[in-house]
Amino acid sequence: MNRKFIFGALLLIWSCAAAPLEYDHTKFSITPDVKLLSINSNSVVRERDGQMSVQVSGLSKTNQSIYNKIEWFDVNGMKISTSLAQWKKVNLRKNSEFLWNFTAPSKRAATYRVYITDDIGNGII
Amino acid sequence: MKKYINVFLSFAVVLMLNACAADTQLIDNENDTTQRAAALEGRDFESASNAMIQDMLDMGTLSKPNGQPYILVISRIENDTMQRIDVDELSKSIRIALMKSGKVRVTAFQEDSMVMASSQLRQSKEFNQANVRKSGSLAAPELSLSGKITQREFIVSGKKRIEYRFSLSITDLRNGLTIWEGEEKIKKLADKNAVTW
Repeated sequence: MNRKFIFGALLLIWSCAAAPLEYDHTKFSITPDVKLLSINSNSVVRERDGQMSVQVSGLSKTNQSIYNKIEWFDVNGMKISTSLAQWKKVNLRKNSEFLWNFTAPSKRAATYRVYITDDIGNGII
Repeated sequence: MKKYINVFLSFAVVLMLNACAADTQLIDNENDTTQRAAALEGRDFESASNAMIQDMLDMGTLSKPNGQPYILVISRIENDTMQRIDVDELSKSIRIALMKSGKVRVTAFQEDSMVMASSQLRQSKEFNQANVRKSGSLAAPELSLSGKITQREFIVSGKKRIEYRFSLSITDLRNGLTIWEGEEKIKKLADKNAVTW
């Protein structure tokens, strides 16, 4: 009887546990404390000047303050150094959609990775 | 004996002073979230210039139709705040980012006196003329970057509200038309006695 009860309770807990966020790990790096329901990105290369633009869209699970940063890489996968790759604080609202736009710092950018975290420390090293 | 006591006391004082010395710590530029000053600081220039560079890149107006870079000159950026600041902090980071983007090349004929002075080498027999600039070979600027930084202060509910406004324009010198304008505001709430100058 006890075993059945424990098994039932575990099954209930397991079914209530939130499904892990599914996202493209080649394009995003998200720390576990950031609570999102979904996140996607869409990129285009502008015809006029060959510059890559990225739009990140997603849905936040809670009201939270997070930091985001985008890094750009050339065709060889080498990171492109830019002052624009800085952490930026963003406030997200529960169940609300967010949209972030980024434009590559140069035409050399071929791929990108968006980093999202809730804590970047205080910077003291 | 007295001599030894004096030496011991001096040593103890030096040791004490050394122990009281405050530690100096390094701050990582990338994730500096330490307390902000009410006055303008490096991080404010960084965030203002980054926002404006991102806007310039988003707009795409700095892309020449033939793909060649524009020649840009840094004009006057006026400091209309109560602080003694070096406006180069703002213009420098913008010009670095624009040059890295490949969309712009910056002419330094205004800031670097050697650009104009080097023409005098043309008359000198001491110099190999192969490296001396030929007459009419300086690249004339096509675009000019100018702007203004302003500051306003208010007391609201016993707190000082400080608003800094960074306004920049890029003007096409060939026709006088402004091809890009950007404005970035940084607002701070500080103690009403906070000094910003």
